[in-house]
Amino acid sequence: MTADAIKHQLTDIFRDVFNDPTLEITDEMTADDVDGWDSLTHINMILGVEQGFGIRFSIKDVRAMRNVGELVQAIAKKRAN
Amino acid sequence: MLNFTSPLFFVALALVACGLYILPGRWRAAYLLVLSYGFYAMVSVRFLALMVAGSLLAYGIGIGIANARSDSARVRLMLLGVGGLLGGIVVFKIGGAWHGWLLPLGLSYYSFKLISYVIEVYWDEDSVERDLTLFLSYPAFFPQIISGPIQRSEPYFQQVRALAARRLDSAQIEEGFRLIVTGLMLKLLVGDRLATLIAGVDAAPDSFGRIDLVVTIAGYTLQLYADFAGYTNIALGIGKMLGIDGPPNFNAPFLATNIQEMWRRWHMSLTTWLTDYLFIPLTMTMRRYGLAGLLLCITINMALIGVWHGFTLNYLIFGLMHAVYFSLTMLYLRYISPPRGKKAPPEPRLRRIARTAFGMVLTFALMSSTQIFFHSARFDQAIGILRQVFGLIPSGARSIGDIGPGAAETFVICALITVWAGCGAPGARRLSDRIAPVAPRWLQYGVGLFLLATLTPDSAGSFVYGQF
Repeated sequence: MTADAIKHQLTDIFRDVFNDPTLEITDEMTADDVDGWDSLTHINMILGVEQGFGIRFSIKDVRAMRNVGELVQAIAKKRAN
Repeated sequence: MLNFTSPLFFVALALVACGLYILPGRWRAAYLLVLSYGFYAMVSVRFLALMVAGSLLAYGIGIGIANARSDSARVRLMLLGVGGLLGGIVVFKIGGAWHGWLLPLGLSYYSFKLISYVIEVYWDEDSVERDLTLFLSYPAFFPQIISGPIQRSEPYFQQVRALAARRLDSAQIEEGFRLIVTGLMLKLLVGDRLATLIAGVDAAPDSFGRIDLVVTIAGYTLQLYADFAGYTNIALGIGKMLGIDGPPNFNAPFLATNIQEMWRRWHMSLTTWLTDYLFIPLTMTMRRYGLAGLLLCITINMALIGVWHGFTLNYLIFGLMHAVYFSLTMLYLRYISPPRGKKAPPEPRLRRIARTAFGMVLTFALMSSTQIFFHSARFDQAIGILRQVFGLIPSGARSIGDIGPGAAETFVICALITVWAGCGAPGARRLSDRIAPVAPRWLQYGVGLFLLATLTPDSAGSFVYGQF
């Protein structure tokens, strides 16, 4: 799966979780940039990503991700395994 | 006892803060440790031994995890550390609820610090701290011992290390002094006055009118905020004077427009702790149960916040009420509320203001409704107040103004100041700058100290969260 394909699917997940149908994601985007991104929506987003991409993160993975770019990389890595 | 509100404490603080900066850098961590243990020993030498034992356990476990060769050994050590520290809290909380045991000073707060350290080392072995003096000073750090804030190990260790090379920084001293003075004013001049008036209603709630009772319930929330935010400011200010910045506990909680947001702004050092070490791991474990699993995790999280205050039915109900409010808010924001975002259709200004104001008032009202159970010692007291509020039992004719001379005015003034402070004290900084040409900073602080000296009620003293 290419990074672009991942981002495309990820955008849909973000729009659903953050209840914002116009949300556009970027690699540098962090929780500070999105209205309503707190620990609860974060975990909702992670669970949405796991379901959408058919992967599983560990708590260590979840804590290590600092922005959307790192999330995309983590998804690509998990998908490749 | 040397309390954060006693003048003697601040005389001692001025001296020990000077001592810190006179000492050569390499002695400063040891100095903080001696001060912290000295502070604790003045309360109880026996319980100091308990804290030292808990600290040594976490220290040893941390090194054990870092040196362990297998994942299973790491897990076992982590569970042993977390279990031992949690066990200490549970034993004393149960002992306190059922047998009237005295709770060791700051037990929850220093144990939470140590638990976070053990888990952080388990997650990342590089977080291990091998310097024993530095390590022991972390849970014991006296400005945070009474009721937090619960600082994480990494920022604390970093700052104490940096302290060795630090010169006296006058801006930091001034900021620390400002936090202490404003904290004392919020606690002693406002919170303790509200507490006295609320105690006047508590003596015979059924003799008061319904409206006055509802106002008193709002007062519970305001008094708790003034007390705990006042304490936190003092604790942060003392830490700052010693060169250590602590984490914030409050971020203008009364500006929150829903309960979910309120929890991001209230007792933050506890809620972020619970999020990292309980809520996220728990939700990840329960993920296969979907939304039901998530709602269960929220309920467990909130119930634990409740009973952490004490093993009583009222605290459990407090937690469960928050679980219900929080879950409904989450479901509403996710599935019912209109879409958010920059490109959402623009909302008329007046409607936006009205919606925000409604959200803030509703959030405050929900928060206060849980405070009925938080504030009342017994279940039947809380139910009695609720029945009276809903008109199920007759109310009396007394009003808050009848408690004593000037009681109604005092209540209104203190409530307004607390609301203003709880909204982030808008305009305070600008006003202070504005009047600086005629009333320089030293004079402003002087007025604060003068008010503290002349207006502090005789009954002032202990902190609500000191008992948890």
